[in-house]
Amino acid sequence: MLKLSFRKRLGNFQLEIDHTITEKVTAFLGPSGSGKSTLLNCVSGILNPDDGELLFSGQTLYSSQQKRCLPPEKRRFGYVFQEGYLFPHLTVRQNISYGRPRSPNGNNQIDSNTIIDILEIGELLDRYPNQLSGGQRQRVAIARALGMSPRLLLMDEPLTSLDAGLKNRILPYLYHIKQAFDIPLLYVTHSISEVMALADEAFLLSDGQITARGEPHELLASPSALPVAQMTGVENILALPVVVASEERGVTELALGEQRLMVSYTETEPGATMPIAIRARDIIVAMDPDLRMSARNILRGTIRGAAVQAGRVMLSVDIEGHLLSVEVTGDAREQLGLAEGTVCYFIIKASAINLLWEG
Amino acid sequence: MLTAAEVSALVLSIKAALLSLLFILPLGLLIGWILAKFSFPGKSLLNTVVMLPMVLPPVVSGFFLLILLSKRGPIGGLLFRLFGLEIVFSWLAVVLAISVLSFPLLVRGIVTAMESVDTQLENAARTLGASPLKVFFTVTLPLSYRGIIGGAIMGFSRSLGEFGATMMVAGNIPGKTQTLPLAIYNFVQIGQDLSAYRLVFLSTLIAFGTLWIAERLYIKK
Repeated sequence: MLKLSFRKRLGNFQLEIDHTITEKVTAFLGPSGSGKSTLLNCVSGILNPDDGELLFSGQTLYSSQQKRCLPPEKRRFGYVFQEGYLFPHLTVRQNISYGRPRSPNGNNQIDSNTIIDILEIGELLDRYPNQLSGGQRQRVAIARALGMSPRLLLMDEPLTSLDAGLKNRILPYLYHIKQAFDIPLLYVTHSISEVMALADEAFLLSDGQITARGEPHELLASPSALPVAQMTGVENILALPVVVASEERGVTELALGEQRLMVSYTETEPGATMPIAIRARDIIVAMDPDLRMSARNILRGTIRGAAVQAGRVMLSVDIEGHLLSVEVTGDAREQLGLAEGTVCYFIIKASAINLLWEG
Repeated sequence: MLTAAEVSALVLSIKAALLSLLFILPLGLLIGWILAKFSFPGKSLLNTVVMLPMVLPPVVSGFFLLILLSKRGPIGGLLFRLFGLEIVFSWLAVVLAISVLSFPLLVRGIVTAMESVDTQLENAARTLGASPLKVFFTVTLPLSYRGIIGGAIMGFSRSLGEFGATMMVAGNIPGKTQTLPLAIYNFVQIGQDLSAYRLVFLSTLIAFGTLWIAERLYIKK
């Protein structure tokens, strides 16, 4: 569907990509400065690659060989920017209709009433952007991009400028859009939970290179996701099967090999895969499992190695074949005699386990 | 009240300044847009050429105009052969002189105004299907019009005050090419102090008024 095979240099930075995108919702996940926006700018035509080619459904968007380059206005790709960039001198209604094609192109045309309904912005139509809250502005920005009946939607961290509460309220709208319209979506973000909620396929982007691609749950549980996880301050990401989900007890039990991991309850079914994140410093090491305490998760594992980073000791621990990072102080390591091959117990509070996927 | 000579200088100045503005505004918008929004080889050269009359002594600018527009000059010669038009020392020469001299001020105002329009807004418009020209008329222009009006007013004021270049290329012919500043100069030379005072007062009033309006337009942004 979308073939990306190009290079783009900006100062010292270089983005290099050679992949074909086929899924409906594709997420690019990476830290800031990894080239996410550059990538979308090249796809939209705001920037031109240095060389290579870009194809969309067989149409050449850019080709250095054929010296062809389709200007952004001819691509019909809706672009939702991180800061919205609504036209300040136009009302919400005028913003939404700005990109409406002059000649209706058959059944590709999206009815603007549908957009207004789905994004619930009917009340805002006569307002100006400076009279909108952050969340409203972003919804209007999405509506504006949809209003042009795009062939492809590009979203550049559309939720990043919003606070956490707002994020969770806008995310369902994006999910509705995915369901309601038959438009492929390229979604760029550094939020793992957004990828989990929306994407059919995810790419990890690091320093201008794609380091891994795959189905989001699997990808984020793989070692290649580590840099991304570390960037968000989470060293351990696992995708584990659900054994029991009990609303009554308020817990969901996940299987970690033969052992069980309890996390706070979420609506799910046994057999489903649940991605979770645990920070290395939220795991406590104990030599004895028979302590009387409130923490529900006491896992047995073997230390496979240790690395010292800036005064912190990062243990690499094998629990039932899953490799986890555990952070301890140098003191603790010495006193407990934590060395390669030591078998010990790892205590994790249920509340320290973040569910990456909710619903 | 004003004498006929004073009125004629005043009217002539305002008429010439307005006509000149009408003339240079479209060109200024085009050049301002190019300078504000595009990068290309030779951009600083274009910028320098456009801005040159602002730093060049007006008499020198006038001298260049005189060379270009005289019957033996490249432009004046062509116009004379084609239309029998003699520009030098005509009212048209006044308009041309003040156009060249006020153009940098106008362009500077337009460039500043257009540069303040976020490029990402224009990019957003492009992705929504707008051609560069449509982006100019629907995004850049509406978002920078205050600054553009401000620049136009500054250019207009500069036109009213132009002396050196006008003198060089249009002369100082009462009722024909004698603008406000030239008239003031003339009245002082021949000792008609009262006339000079009245025109000085009027000039100051107009300059104050226009500058004040321009200032308010800038601030309101």
